[in-house]
Amino acid sequence: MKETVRTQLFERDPDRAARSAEAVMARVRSLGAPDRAPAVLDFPAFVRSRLVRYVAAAALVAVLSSLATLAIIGDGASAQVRFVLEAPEASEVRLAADFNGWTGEGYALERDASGTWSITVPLRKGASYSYIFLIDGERWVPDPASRQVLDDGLGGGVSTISL
Amino acid sequence: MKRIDWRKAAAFSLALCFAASLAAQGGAGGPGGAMPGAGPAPGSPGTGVPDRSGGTSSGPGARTGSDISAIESLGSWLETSREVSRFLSVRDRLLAAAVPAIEAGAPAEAFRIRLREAAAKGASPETAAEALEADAARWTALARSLGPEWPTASKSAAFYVSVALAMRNGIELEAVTGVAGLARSGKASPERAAAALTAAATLRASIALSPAEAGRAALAVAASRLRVGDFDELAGLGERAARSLVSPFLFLAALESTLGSGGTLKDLERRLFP
Repeated sequence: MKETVRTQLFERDPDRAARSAEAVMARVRSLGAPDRAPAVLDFPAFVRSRLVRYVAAAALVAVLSSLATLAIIGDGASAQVRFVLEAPEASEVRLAADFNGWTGEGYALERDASGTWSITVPLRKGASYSYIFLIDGERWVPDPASRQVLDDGLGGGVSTISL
Repeated sequence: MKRIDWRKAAAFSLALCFAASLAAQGGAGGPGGAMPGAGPAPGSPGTGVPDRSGGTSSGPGARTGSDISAIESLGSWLETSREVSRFLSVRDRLLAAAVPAIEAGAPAEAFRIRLREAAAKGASPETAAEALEADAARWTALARSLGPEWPTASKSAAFYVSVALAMRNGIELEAVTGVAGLARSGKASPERAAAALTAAATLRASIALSPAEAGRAALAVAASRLRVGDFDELAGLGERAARSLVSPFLFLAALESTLGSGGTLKDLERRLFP
């Protein structure tokens, strides 16, 4: 049974194969130690090179610090600002501001059960903004809760907020 | 394995971080940003209009190719835009007001922003024309004073609109140029400069500062270590001081002294209300 298997796996004569292999190895040995060929990419040396290590270390630091910076930007450079207006009689209130082209499109406030309207808007910190409420599409009202109401030059006032 | 020279690595990474932060700033504040305030107002033309960014170095006052283009574009917009169709009857008047301002270096986009505001608020053509003529006069003087280099094109229109608001509410051109000078020297961004001017206009109203005093307040606020987010609280202090019969003179002296020495709002409050 064992012989059968060997025959199937090695179709050559084992003795001839061994002789052949020894002849090849003898030929290889006779060639001596190979010359160190100029490596196109000597990987270990490449990894060990100073420049690569600097770049790797710098990239690691840069990536980590950039991630930290992004986290800071995400948390610190913007603010969620909630604009609130008490107007129980209103059927629609919009926030018109210099950051939305004064149209109030897409800035409709939501009414709660008590008639308080509110909207939360993300705004960049480090600037001041002008805004006003548009009630029922016809009444322009500065924020009664705002200290800062300035003349808009158009016969009305605007509220301002600094972030 | 040789040790890493961490000093060199740190220097290299600092350079990378600097480049990354520049790229991040460009990305966050550029057009198309999702956050309000990060880019042009919604509704502004997506194509952009030639403005000071395309100007030449011939300086304010000389009509350049980009000025002509900006004026023509504004005229065309006034004629064809449905947003401001109600102002068609005063189109020539509006253009006549805009031309010297644009030639001086004011951004045409500032006119569009104000006209959109006027249209959205339902202002009459006469009211809008009067308002824009007044703003144009302010912008002409401002542009001549600031020159074409600052603020950069992307921030110019918003800055001009904010400055017009401050000047309309009692801040003088001299104060604006002083605050702009601070900003240009790197001590404040255009947004902070505009916010400081707005805060000073608010203070002027709350504690009855004279225009000259409000200008000094604007300079003190712009140069201070206060964050822009503190400016509303400062206005609150002004109101409180007025209610407590603190004179504008004393308030301003305390403001300049406290903020000038790096103090905080708490320091100012302690000084005003010991």
